[in-house]
Amino acid sequence: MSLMTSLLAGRSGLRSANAGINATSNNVSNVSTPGYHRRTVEQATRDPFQNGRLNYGVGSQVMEIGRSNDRIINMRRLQEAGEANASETEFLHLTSIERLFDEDQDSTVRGELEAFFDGLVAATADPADLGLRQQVSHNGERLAIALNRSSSTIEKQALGFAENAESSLVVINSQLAEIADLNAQINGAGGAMGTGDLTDRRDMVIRNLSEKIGVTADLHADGQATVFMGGHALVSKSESRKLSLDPTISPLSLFVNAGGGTIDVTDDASGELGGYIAAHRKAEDYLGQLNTFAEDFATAMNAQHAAGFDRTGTGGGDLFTFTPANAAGTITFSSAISADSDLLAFAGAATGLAGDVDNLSQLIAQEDNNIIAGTSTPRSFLSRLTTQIGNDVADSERLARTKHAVLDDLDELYTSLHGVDMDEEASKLVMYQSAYQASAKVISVTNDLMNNLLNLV
Amino acid sequence: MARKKGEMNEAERIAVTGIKVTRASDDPSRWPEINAIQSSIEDQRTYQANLDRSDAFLITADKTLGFSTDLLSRARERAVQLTNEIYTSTDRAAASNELFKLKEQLIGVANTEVNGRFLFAGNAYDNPAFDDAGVYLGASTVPLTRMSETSDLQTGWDGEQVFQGTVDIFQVLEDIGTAMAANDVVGIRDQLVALDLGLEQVVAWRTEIGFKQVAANDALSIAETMEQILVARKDEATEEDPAAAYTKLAEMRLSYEATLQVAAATSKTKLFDFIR
Repeated sequence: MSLMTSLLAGRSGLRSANAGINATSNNVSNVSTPGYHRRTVEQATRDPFQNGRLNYGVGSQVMEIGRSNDRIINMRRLQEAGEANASETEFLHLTSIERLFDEDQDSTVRGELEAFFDGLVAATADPADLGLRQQVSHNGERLAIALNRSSSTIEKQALGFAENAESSLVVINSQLAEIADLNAQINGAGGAMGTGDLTDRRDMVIRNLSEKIGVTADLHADGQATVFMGGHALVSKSESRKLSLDPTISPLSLFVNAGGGTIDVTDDASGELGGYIAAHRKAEDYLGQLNTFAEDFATAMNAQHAAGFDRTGTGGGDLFTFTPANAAGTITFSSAISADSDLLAFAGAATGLAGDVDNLSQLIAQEDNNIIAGTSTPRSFLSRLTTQIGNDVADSERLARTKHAVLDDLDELYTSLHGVDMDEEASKLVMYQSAYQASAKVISVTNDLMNNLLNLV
Repeated sequence: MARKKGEMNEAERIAVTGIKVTRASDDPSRWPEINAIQSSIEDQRTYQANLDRSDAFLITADKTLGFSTDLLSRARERAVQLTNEIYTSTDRAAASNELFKLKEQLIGVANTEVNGRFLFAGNAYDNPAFDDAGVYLGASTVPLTRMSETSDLQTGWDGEQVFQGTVDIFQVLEDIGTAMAANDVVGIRDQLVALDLGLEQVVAWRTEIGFKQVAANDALSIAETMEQILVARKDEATEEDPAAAYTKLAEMRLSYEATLQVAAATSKTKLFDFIR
């Protein structure tokens, strides 16, 4: 053991303190950087110098600039981020469809249906009255227009959801490729040690990806990550797979490329994309129900109208026309009857009596008959449809709120554990500053002693 | 902060509008009920409109039969008078013209119309009920107006039943006039019984129309009351109590302001401020 040993110990102290100051300054400068994990200096004693039975310490060394991380909490965050965004996306998009059926709208399908039947009831007061007949025609036109508009809007919304999903997929595939690339860089730079910045970037992309599609990640000892969606690996070390949508298939479905083919992974999709797909599927369901309503309603009313006679004693023609594949979107009220309301077949006999309302009464009775899908009245069917939409919206909103609350709590916990706390960094700065100053003092004193020794020689 | 602000905005909307349910997602469990109530409200309004429209027909029909009664009473008065021996054949001849005129008037009354609708033509109400000779041209079926979910109101009558049912009162007047012209006192007396039966017939129909007016008034009153009850039920389901709404808004505002103050306080002082 000599004064050189003390000098070396002092120098190691300077280096260790310097590393600590460097890590602290890096933390402070990145306090607002999204996804940044606090760096910590892992310090240890150097192997001692042994002289006989005595061990002389030779200072400290920096083992690692560690990156604060918690895999369990991070996994939960990824999962909750996916589910929260899925619910929120679904809620926001279904709300736009629900607005079609708001009671404060000027014209809703329910309101126009009621007006149509109320117009028929009003016509019983004077079935020969031109004004009352024209009102029935007018109400029929408005009902058809309301169905057309609702159908068209839902169809456009569904198309929009599919387009949003496609756009989202471009970003998702790009992010998958980026994760694979960052994995390769982390591996090339020596693995988990010393690649904190690359790991921060990669983990940030994984978090963003989870918001988009809902993923989990397994971290390996070499620092690389495997990204899963459900049980399917989307990124495995430096290789990524592509996701795709098939717009020709209904319902909207998500596929992952695998072994020359594709695998349907729709049920595993969460996040924003999962929300688009869920909203699209629900929109198609609503549209299907609206088409069923339009077709069955028009068919029943046409059949009853045909059983009656108009003012000339001629049998009634079709009140509504439609194309079966898209009944709600194509239903129209008879233009012939609109132009000449005497063609409304209110009478039960071909005698052309002005006050004959026998068939008009039967037309009115359709309101309470199970003419829709053989099981529901027109009013109850629409009520059930709007209630279903309302339940879907309310459920997704409630789930989004709950999931976001959990996610916010997890993010807050994660930030408090692994983010930068300015007060903590300030105290570390003071500590490392003192350590540096003390080590400098040791070198200074040792230097003085060595000079004294040299002067003696 | 963002969540609190969102909740506060929603509380503001409810407090300002007073409406807490405008769409199904606001209260999915009660939405079918709210829909059903709204539909029922609209139905009641339609029934009220129908009853208002029918009122004119009933009132006019009542007045018409009242006038018919007056005409028949006048005919009876003259018939009884002219059976008295003090009257000569000349007097009776002059009176017969009056009887024929009364018949003509009665046919005219039987052809009363309201807005182009002949009240006593049954379902064929777009044409006169009787021709000038008193032959019925109308229909035996009658118009019915929907006045509630389960009942209809008769708003036209089969004139043949009213004026020619048990007794053909046009014919009776014709016969009395003919008897007067022929100075046939016995013949005049013979028709008095039929004339009395005819009077009773018209009075009976007038009474029935009176009952229908009462029924219509009752139905109108019920529809109006039902509408009020349903509107109140709908308001109870869709509107927020103002006191509760404003109390909640005040709570939300307080909570939001407290959140802002906490956020401001925690961002103020750091340890770095004290390091020299």
